[in-house]
Amino acid sequence: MADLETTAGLESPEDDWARGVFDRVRTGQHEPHWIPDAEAAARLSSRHRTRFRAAGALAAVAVVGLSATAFTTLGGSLGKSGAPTGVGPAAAQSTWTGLDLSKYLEIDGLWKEGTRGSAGTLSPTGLSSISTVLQRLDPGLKHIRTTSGQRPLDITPNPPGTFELELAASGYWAPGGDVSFFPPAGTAYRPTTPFGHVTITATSPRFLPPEQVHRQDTPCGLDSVASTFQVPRATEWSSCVRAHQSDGSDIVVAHSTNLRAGVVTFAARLFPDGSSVSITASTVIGYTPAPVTDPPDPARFVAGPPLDPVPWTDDSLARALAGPTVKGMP
Amino acid sequence: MDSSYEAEFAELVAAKGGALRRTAYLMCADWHLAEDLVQIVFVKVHLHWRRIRRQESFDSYLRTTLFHAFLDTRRAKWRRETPAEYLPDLEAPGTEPSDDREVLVAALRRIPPRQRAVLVLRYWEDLSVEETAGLLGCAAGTVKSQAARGLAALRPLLAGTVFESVTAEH
Repeated sequence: MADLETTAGLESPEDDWARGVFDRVRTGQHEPHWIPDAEAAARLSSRHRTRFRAAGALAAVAVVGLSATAFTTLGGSLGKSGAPTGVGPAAAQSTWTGLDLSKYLEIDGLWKEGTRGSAGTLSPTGLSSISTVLQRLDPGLKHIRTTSGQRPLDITPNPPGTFELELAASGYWAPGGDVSFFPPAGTAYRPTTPFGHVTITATSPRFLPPEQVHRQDTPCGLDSVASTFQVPRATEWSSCVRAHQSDGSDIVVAHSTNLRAGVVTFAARLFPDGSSVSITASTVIGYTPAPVTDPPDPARFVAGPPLDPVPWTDDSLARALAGPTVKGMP
Repeated sequence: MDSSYEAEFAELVAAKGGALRRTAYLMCADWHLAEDLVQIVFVKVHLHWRRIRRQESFDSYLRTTLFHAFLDTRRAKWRRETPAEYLPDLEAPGTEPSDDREVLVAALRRIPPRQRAVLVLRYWEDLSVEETAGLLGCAAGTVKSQAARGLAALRPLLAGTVFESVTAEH
């Protein structure tokens, strides 16, 4: 782990190499012409300022109105003494208080505001489903880990017009639950210890529905398998097993059949309203060297050692999605 | 904001815009998005001009704002950004990036965003580990580990390119 011990004053060969790489692209590179627009920035800034002021004024009116209503409801009077003077705090941020998911999974959301993307906060329904699935996949929470660091999960309700479309949570499956040495420092990304990779995804009906293309190269004809560059991309899948649930939803599951390095299993619960919760689990991680082709060539995937034994089956992933506590996002 | 402030601001935009856009491009791999990110930075700078214009750490403020704008925009993308989606899959097989920077950017796109940002700040912006940690609001050890992981991922991605045997000039 010499690289991790490098200090600012003692540059490693890797640091030297990286500086050389970035130095090489400092000059003489083609780039599109562009003139930064100071006036446009100033105009937008002024609009922000105006909006902040207006919002502040409206909030003050609302607080006074609300206080007055509460005061009179409680038997008070708005006589000469005037309105009550107490002003409550602004709406506080709400934080997820369930299982500390960020300790095990990297959480990422996808939002929509009007017709454009926007940043938002996380759906508690989605977090709850992910929490349930996580604890079913890894009872005792001994294996699934993230390297991205813990953080509070903000579940403050999104403003009107902003919707969370997808919530994805991914982590490594480490046989010993230890990812402190992962990925190994050095020049080779290929891990020498078996690691798996798990992604749990919840979507809302507003999310573009999985494309029902019934292609052979997607599991169950769904184009919603989660992928990261560390997981091999399969192009051939087993036949789809479908189980109808009492609430009208379906659970589908399939696994890859053309990966030499390991197996990717995909399971999804598809709800009648169009929402879904899915799991993509890979028994192996590694990387695909450049140039990458489309469609992918699984034979080019450089893999680390696969998990052995494999900690899940098609059936166990399907069971992890069953029951009333697993719900798609509203 | 009076006219002298506006003149100072315009001077700043002209002086810093190009460099900020290059940094943004290395992070996001999209010139148009890079310009949007820089514009976000300048809007925020203009909003808080009185407070920040005299700060000695003004460049640091610009980088920090750019970094947060990059992460915010990444979170907002219609399709959640996963490393697999950074790949230049849409190019026809065999299509090669046109210059060295494009080769590097194509490789950077395949590295998780925080690691990518650390690499850009450490080796493009030439910030120390401590400066990078201060900018990102994390421990120095986190910067070191993120940089090590990012480099471990970057090396094989640049294998067989002009960068494979490159050496530092300083």
